[in-house]
Amino acid sequence: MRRAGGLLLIALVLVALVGPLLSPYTVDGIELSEIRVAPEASHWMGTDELGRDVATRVLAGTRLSLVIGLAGALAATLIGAGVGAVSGYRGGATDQAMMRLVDLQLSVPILPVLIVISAIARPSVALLVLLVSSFAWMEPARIVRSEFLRLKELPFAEAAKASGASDSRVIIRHLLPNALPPLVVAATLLVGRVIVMESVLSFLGLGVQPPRPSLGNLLYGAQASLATEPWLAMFPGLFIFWIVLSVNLVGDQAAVGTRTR
Amino acid sequence: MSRGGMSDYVFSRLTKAIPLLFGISILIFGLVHAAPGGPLTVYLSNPNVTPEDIARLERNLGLDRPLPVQYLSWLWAFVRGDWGFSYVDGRPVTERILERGPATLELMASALVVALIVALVLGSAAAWRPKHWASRLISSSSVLGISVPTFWLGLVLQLVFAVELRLLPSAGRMSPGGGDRLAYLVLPVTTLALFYASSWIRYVRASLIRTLDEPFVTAGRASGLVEKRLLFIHALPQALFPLITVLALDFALLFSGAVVTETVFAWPGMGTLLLDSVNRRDYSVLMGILMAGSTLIIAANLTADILYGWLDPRVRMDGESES
Repeated sequence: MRRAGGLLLIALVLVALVGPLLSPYTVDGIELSEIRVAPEASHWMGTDELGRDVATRVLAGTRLSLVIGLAGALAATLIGAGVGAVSGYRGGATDQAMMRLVDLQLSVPILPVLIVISAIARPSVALLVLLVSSFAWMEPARIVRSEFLRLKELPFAEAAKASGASDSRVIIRHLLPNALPPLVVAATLLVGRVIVMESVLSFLGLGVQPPRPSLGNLLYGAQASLATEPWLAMFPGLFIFWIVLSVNLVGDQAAVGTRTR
Repeated sequence: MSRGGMSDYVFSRLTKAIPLLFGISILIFGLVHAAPGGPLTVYLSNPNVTPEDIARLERNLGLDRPLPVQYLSWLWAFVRGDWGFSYVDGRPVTERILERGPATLELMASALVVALIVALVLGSAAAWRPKHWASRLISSSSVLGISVPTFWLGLVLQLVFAVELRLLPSAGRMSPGGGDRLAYLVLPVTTLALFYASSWIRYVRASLIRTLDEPFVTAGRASGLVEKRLLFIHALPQALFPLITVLALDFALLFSGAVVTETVFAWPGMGTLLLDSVNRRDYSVLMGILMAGSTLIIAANLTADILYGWLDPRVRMDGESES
């Protein structure tokens, strides 16, 4: 099951990249003679209330979700690694202050706060990524901090310091590479987390704004027509599930890999 | 035998929780007051409200004072239970939150209990015979469970059990007469519980497998203890202590999950109130919900910390150096 993760992920990326090239429809191609068509040979995932091809829109949404997930996870990991590195390396009062900041973020009801901010600010996609990642950096921060607390006492770190390397050099060249394996695992799992957060916000009408399709905003409105056009709700959700499942499986496998090293 | 250091431990946890609440209150206050239009946005778009009215409202509500002053007077009122009035219907914020809170707590508590029972049963089963096909099935399914997006699962369950099979109600908390509350709970609780059940199955399984490897279990086995007794009386409690911390950390997520689940099932709780208030820019209610949510989360974490420290004295001893 674990091995399937990589394959699932590669398949997904291929479908998202190649699919739109093969599709005879465009993302916003309105066809009023073919509205609300159930899935069939010419429209694999049916059409929506404007006659747009759902499959084409789902694939475009998948691309966007993948980009948001990767960018968000990367941003959160960078923020977290920075905070964790300084916290673990400096220790003392700096560490205490930064860990209280982590505690603070962990005690905030994240989704309600994101809902309020995005309703007020109506963020662009780039800002949305930044917003979500500013509430997702705590896990990488804790991981890097605890690795640094352990690593900085080891002889190789002492040696680097004794030979006159600056703090930033010790952190970046000597300590960080050794903290990478668990950090990579956490970053992988964050991709799924960020995608889910974005799609929840878009599902509530507060994230990526139509007509640009995202997997979340395709589901916005699908609930109202659940009884008559269930395909509008099924396919975007299946693709979110596909992304998150493959990322989680890859993360699990990476975690096993780092433990047995 | 006294629980040595327990009161010191509780005190040290409290001294962490209270500044945390302060920090969050600043964050939430800043958030709402940084919004363009500020708390009075709802009136700005109303053609019957003149700029003079706005100025008078600002004076009456004290919005023309410096922010730190406003914050302190808001905080002082908040601590005394005066959470202000809804800008939409003029009722006290506390009243509006108190009438919605029980529904959210009911949803969260039911999901927590269901998820915990499922996780304990399936998690220990999977740890007991890790190579058995059923254990493998449990592990694989739990990966699926943590990957399903909650709100979409809600839609799928609605489609299958409410629209197609017509077995269960699709939305709301009770029928007009007030009966069959349980039927209304089934779908929302399943939706919310699946993620946590799956995530905690993984945790229970991993933790129990580690514990079963420890010398005291081998010693127990060697001295002829019955396997079942070994599992339930000796190994399981040891493996479960750390789960308390996991539960506490997940509590914040559970609150977020409840908000989404409520919107899918039109559950009349704090989540649907939050979205209503967001759409109407009812800032005083929003601040109240965010503060109530944070307080709930911090209280849950505090309880878990204290419980953990009470059950396992080692935590009390080195809790300070470790956090």
